[in-house]
Amino acid sequence: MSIHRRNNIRVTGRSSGRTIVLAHGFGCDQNMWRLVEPALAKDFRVVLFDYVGAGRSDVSAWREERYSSLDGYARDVVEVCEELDLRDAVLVGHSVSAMAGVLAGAAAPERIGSLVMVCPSPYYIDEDGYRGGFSAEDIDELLESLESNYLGWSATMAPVIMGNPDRPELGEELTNSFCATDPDIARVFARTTFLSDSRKDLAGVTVPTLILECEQDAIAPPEVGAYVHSAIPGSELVTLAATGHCPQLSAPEATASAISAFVADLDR
Amino acid sequence: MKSLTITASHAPAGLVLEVAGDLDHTNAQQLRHSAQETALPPGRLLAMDLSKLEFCDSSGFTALIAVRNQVVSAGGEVVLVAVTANMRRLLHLTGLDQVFDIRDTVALLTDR
Amino acid sequence: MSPPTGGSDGPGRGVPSTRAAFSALLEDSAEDLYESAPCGYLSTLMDGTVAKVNATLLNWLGLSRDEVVGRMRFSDLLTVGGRLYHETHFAPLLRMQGHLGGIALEMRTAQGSRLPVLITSTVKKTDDGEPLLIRTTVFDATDRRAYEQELLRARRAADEARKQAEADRERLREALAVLQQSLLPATLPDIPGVETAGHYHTASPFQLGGDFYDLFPLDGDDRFAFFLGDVCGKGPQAAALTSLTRYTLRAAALHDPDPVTNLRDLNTALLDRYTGDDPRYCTAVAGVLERAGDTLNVRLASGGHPPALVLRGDGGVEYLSTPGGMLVGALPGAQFVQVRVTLRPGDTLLLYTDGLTEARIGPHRELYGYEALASFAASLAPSGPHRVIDALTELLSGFGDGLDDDTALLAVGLPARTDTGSRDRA
Repeated sequence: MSIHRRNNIRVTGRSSGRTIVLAHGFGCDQNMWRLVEPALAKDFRVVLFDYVGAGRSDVSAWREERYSSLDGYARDVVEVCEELDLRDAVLVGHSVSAMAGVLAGAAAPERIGSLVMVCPSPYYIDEDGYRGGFSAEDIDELLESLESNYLGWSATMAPVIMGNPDRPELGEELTNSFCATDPDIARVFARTTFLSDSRKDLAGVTVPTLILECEQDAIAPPEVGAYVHSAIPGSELVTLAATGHCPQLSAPEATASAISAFVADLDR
Repeated sequence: MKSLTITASHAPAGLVLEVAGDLDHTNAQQLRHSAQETALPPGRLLAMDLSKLEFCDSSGFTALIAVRNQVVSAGGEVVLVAVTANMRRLLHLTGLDQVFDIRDTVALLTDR
Repeated sequence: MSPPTGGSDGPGRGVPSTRAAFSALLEDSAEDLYESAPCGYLSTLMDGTVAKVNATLLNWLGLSRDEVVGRMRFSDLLTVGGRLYHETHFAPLLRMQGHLGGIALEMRTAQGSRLPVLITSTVKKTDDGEPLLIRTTVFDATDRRAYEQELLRARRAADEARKQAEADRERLREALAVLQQSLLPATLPDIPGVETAGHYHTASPFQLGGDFYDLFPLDGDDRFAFFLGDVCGKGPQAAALTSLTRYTLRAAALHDPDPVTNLRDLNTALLDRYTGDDPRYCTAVAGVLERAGDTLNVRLASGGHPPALVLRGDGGVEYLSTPGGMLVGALPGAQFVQVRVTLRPGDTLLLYTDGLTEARIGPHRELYGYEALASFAASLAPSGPHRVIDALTELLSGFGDGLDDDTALLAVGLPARTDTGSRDRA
């Protein structure tokens, strides 16, 4: 199984341009980028991929041990970069991928030359002197919800009601219109996303870094953006006039132009 | 797989058990019980009619031997009647043709 | 739906009453329908701010219109877990697809309790396709969720039970395999100038078979004893009997290497152990190999066992008949019969259990039988033990479900003097 197929790698855009790797966060797949991709593709070479277990990746390559820590996702990022033999690429990571990107950059500094962190959060839980936005109980509730029913009626109930593992296409049809993620995989991804504490890793970032946050984000409040900004020396923080946790969907133009401006600055 | 049917009938010299169908590990106990229930008086004959026995595995042979041991120790005799060719071959192979009295028909029982 | 008929309003008033009910329905304003519908209605701006909400939903949540409209976002009405799910799954997908239906979420009421709901949302767009607002219907899914939870719980319990059963089955299979292996020699001894080969076919990994074989030196390199047999029955009791049989025969052969005596010893041991009510017997071939120059003298005794087969170096095949040998362990004073045979270079002696000859073949499930085995052997002869065992192993696997018994095979032979001397099979 090639990494290409395993991670459903797609390369578009201007082949002579600088390479931008777009890494999706917890919840969906590379489709998250489809509103910003056309704008970026005009000037840059754009690499899209799905983490193993998400989207159209090869689910059979998923291993719970590997994807129970952010390192597993970072390894996916590094392996995608190696597969394409990227040098000095810009890694754009959304949400949890922003932190996976930090780890990937530390593991393969020659391949990842700069970071764009979209709505990052190094830790989601409030602790003395740190505001992550959630209490430990809140995260438990999310995990509990995910484990029981929160994957949406169809995604959770289709395999239960179909009860037909021999004909997975039956369940697939129902869930395809939704985030096509196996409930077990989503559970592991959720635990890793919301329980990992990566605050210590931020100080190690030495590459040019852009932090994008939204005015109103129910998942990563402004305090978190400020924290990341102060923890990464020389980083740039841009607050987008957007709401929600996915500015690439709610404010695609603003998101794309912020990324473009940052990348253009790198070459100056 | 056929089931086992055991039918008992009385003859002048003793008792006839017709053992029909398949005699194997699932039902060999049945033959032993049938033989025990007959409680044949000493000196009498127990004839097992095997003309309709279609299959007999090692547990079946065990049951035949157990029935023989039980009857003989009580002073009776055991006769196998109307043994099929395949069964005869197996009895010969196992040397049991030297142990069992094997006769062609039940009718012979009345000649004693 | 048919219009109401006025029923209890008394005779003679039916027609006017129906008209009254109709007009009451017609007067039911769209606004009233919206407010008092049996489901929640909610419209939000694209950033989630609630612009409009119906009385039904406010009532369910225990909130007033003023608290909600313009002040709260849709995600504020959800539990924290629901909010995270909304941000990571629901909102992005709604943006991408413009519509999302049948999503299970939980809302938080003013009293702090949870309200399981099913949500359907549609993005309303302007004439030029710009997203304008999100319309959402909310259905109370309390009962349904309880039922789903029950289904999930039952499914999990069933999964758990299945996994446990599979693990137990696997442990049993492993234990049985180890036990079965312990009844066979790990390897056959190396006898200079003699070729040996064995094979054990297990009919079912969950049923211990009762076949056995062994080959071991008696004194030095010149005398060896061997046996092969089949105990009655299957399962743990057969395995116990096999174990007793194997060690009795081994001890007997080491004490007095005479095959007939050895079978008699075994007969005594089995009769001693098992009573007349519960006879346990086996069929067995026991023998002694003695080197004499470049030949091998074989003495072989059989107790109720299918005859051994000799494949000669010249291509001939013969059964070693031992008529009159009786089952071992069934009867006091059982008789056993001995034969002698000399193996010359190129000859192979084959021992087998009746799994092979009693196998069923073809559409009419005929016995494979002795004639077919002799023909098969003739097609192989001359052949050394390994080739014979390999060919028979292949034959056994070709029987498929016609072979439902364990089968043991053991072959001993003297290699032909020169390889070029042996005929090649076509």
